[in-house]
Amino acid sequence: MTLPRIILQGSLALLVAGMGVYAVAQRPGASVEQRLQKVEDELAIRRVLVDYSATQDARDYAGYANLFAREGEWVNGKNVHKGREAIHKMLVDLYGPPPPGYVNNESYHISSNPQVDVQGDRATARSRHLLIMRGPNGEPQPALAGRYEDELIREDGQWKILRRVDYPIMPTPEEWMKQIQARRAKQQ
Amino acid sequence: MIRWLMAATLVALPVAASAQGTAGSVEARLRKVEDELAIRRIQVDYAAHLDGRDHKAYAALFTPDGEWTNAGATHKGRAAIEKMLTMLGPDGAENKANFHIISNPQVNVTGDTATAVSRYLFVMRGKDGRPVPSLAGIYTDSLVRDGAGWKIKRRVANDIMPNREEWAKIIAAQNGE
Repeated sequence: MTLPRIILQGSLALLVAGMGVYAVAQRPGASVEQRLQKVEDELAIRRVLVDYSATQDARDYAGYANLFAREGEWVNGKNVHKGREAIHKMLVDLYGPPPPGYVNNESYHISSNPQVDVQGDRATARSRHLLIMRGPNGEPQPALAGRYEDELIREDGQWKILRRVDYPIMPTPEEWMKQIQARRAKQQ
Repeated sequence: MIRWLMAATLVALPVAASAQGTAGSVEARLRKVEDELAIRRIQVDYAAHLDGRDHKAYAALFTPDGEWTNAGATHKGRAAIEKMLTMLGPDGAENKANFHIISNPQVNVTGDTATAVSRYLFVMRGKDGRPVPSLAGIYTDSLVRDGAGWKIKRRVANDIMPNREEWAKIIAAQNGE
């Protein structure tokens, strides 16, 4: 075998190997339509992550509950709320019924670091949340940080949360309860 | 065979379209995805040009008759919007004193117009150079497709934490007044 031929064969082997990698990255057999669908799905799911914060912060309980699937579940430690009605009730119990025209100028959640993986009509997503609360002089103060782990399902053509697990990180649930109790004591 | 394929495509398309809730061809759906990404980019470019003190690029994000408004003032037209930035200091000045974190983008595209909402958190250099979250608010935008791309027709900046009165107090205290 002459040297050029070896180089040529080596190049071809590299080329073929390289094409294989490229093809895998591009999902072999996926049509343009399927690839577009996957991009649409990712954007739709990212939007669900943001809408979750927006509806929670606006105390839009119906909008919030509607982000979940019919059998959707919200989980935080031992607290589990299943179904839109139960999830709606969880918010009423947590925040009380909001007055008409309520505008929340006291707090909001930054939704960040989305990791979305779509598999057909199912998906998983991870994201971070950082609760910002109004401080003594009106300044925004980071108050609570955590992670969400979601399972999502395409239901009636819309992406819905099948299961959201909220993992509080800073402070821990115990530390957070202490803060809430101290805040309530101050208000009384 | 070709006729059969075409018929199958025609049958398959409405199913895919209804599953997405978006009507239209692959081309139209792709355009919608591109539009959303382009508008998300404007939301971030806005902060980059503002924080980077690139006054021209900032003003160029707006339509020629574009409007920037908050509770205190309205600036209409690129020249007025560019002039508004001079209160932050000279064009092109290095800025290591503050920046905006842009988050929670919500983009809704309808043909050649769009609305968008995003959150901003203004971070300032504090004591010992620490980054201090200082001001949080919401941007509410209307946008239009303008020849080459998307432009802001109107941006409303709504400061929330602190509110305008609280902010004035904080700035006065920082200036030692």
